[in-house]
Amino acid sequence: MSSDVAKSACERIDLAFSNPEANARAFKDAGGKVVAFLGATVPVEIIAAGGAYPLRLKGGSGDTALADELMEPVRELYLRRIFNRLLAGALDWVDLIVVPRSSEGLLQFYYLIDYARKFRGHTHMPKVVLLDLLQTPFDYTIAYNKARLTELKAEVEAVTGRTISDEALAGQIKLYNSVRGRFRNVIEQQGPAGTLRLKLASFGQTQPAAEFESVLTDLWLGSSQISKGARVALSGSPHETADLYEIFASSGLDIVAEDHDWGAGIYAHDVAENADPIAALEERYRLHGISMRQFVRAKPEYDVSGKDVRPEAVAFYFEENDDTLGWEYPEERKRLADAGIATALLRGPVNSDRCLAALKDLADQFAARTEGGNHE
Amino acid sequence: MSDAAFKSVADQPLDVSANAKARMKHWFNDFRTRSMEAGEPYVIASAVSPHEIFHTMDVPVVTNTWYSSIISAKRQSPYYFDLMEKLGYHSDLPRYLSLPMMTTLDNDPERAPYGGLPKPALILDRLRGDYAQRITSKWASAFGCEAFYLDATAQTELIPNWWELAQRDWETLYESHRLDYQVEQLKALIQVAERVTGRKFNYDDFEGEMHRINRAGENVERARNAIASAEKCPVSMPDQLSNVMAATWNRGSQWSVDHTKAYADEIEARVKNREAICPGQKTKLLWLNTGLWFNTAFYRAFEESHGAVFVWSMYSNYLSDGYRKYFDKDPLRALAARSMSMNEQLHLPPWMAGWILKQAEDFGASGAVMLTPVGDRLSSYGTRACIDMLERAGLPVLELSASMVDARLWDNDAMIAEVGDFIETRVQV
Ligand code: SF4
Ligand code: SF4
Repeated sequence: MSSDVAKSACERIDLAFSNPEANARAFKDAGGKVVAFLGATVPVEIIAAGGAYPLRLKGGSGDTALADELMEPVRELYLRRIFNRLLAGALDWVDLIVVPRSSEGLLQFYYLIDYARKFRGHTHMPKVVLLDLLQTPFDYTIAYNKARLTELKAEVEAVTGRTISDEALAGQIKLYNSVRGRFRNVIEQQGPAGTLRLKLASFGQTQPAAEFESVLTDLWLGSSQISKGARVALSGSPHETADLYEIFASSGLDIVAEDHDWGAGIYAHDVAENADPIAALEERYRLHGISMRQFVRAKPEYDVSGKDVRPEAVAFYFEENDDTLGWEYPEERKRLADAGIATALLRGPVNSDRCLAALKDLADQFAARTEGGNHE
Repeated sequence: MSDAAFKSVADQPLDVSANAKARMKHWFNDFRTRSMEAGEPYVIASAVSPHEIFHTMDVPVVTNTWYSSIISAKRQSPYYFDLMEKLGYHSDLPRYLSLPMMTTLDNDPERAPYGGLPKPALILDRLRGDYAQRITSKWASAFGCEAFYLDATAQTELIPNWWELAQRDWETLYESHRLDYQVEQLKALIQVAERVTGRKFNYDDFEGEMHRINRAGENVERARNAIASAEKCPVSMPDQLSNVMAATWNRGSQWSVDHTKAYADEIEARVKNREAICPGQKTKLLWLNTGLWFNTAFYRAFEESHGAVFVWSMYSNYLSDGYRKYFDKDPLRALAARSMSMNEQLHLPPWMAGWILKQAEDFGASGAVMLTPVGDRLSSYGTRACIDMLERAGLPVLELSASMVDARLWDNDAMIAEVGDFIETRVQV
């Protein structure tokens, strides 16, 4: 692979990470439709099959003054920021927003948008629909979800004016599966450093599948992009920014796997190709859609290909108002200790004193060991 | 000062309140003899789950909130908080609902209230927030018992004025696809309940339960209307709470029908006789969100100083507006309607705010105090938009933040000062 091609792949990844909506806007300006969504449980295949641009929304780095009037400060920062952008009119160009019911925060976000529209006059905001996809493993849940996905299909059809055939859906399922497979190959064969892996995973959430595929094909990592340092798996709250990853890197630690919903795990599971498309999507996103309400979450030390990455430590990061994921921590800590894996507990926000102090403790453990010369 | 036209009953609880307390004691003695001593199957269920199914089967139900409040009342919560920390549960996790589980993990009968809860036949939880499942699964495995999860579907559209549709037109209000799903869940729950308790669920008995809940709800509405229309409040908030809650926990029983009737009768008689808990009343206030269970005297702390009386909280008439579900032929679908909407209508703006404004208007209230528990994200969702809507409609609201589990963290003097200042500066007399 020529270094020119390789360079452009990396630039594209960085560009998409710092400006994730530019491509979607260009698509819109050229007359296309953009369907935005939140979380990792919305089947993008349905959106793409309708010919719309699927764009996963990020909070970005803006302020939250407008949102704070209606949103309690204990809510997730990324939601406060997206809400602020919505109220400020920064997303008015989007054709439809899909909010999945895969966390209480997301559900309450949906109701708040409704409130702002009906009671505070924010009628400029794009249409927002709820995807009430449940994640319990019951047969009646499956039937319920299939009906909800069929409704989502109709919503997308209404936006694009195009009927979504089973063939179109099957085609997108195939395409996205192939891109996921390619992503897994890149991770497995090239072993990118944590920050780059996060950016690459993010790329697939905001850029079209064909773009993602092209970047994955062109990417060939130089030695500076390859994972090095003590190998740490990251568990807990989501990270849409690379802030925590960068602090890890500067402490001599590399995040080699993670279980949050912006991480590589989004691409760990394919959609069955030999089944009814709606049924196949239902199963994939109910079981493997990474979310707060996911019934069984994956183990943090397993990578996107389902292999144990044998980390030297697992770092648990819980955002400051976490009320859910922390319940698993004591048992996880014990399980990992029994397997001889160290753990660290980091509390949000990223870059806070308590977060940095815990990270320093972890880094010091590895530094001491390296100095002691007993690295196997 | 005292108003000559009104007779003060400031220090007289309702006669029926003693019956409510006796009934709760009776419930506990029954649970103690049958399940704690004789080992009869019982069920631990969240407060917002369909207890009706177990009532019908004569299986005792214990709510985790009840046991949590006992732990707090016995001043054992600090010990279990320490234990949580020692076990590695981080300090920001919501603690109220997890205290009972800590007694099981601790496994020290000497310390746990009543020697700790024995192994239940089942733990039932409704997956409203994101964490219920994670606590319940751990608790069930600590007991070595089964857990049953009722998933919580989400309302697509919040039709205004839910209380006007909730009793008779619930099919429209709660959306048929959600009702269908909830019925499926209830059928599955009944099967599991029969298997783990070895008892039969009788549909005729169940139908009777459901009718009796509607009748109790009618009585509570009568009481609520009497309080709302009274010139001066005839019944204290602590009295309202103990009577309506006893009927709610014992819903479906003939006792709850008789009790709520006596409760309504006594309040109507007080109104007729011009009896008031504060004859010098100048202002009516509403209490919003969580109840202040460990300090119910607080509700009455502003009568002498400001002539301000708390006349309403959601417990005043949720049994009538939220629980009543009339039905022609399908009591299970009616139960589905009740059990899947339990707290949503109390917490989702604009449902929450709409109902409160209706009460403010009917009761003639001129201000409201909202209690928001700290350290529990779930119970603060929607409060800001709710306050926004209330204030825009002209109802001043004071928000108090407090711990619901640790009474030691309640600074009574500071809270009294805050509410006093609110009444003086923001509430129109
Ligand atoms: S190695 Fe990575 S960073 Fe360097 S040019 Fe190639 S893609 Fe870009
Ligand atoms: S508080 Fe009520 S009863 Fe007491 S003096 Fe004032 S008005 Fe009379």
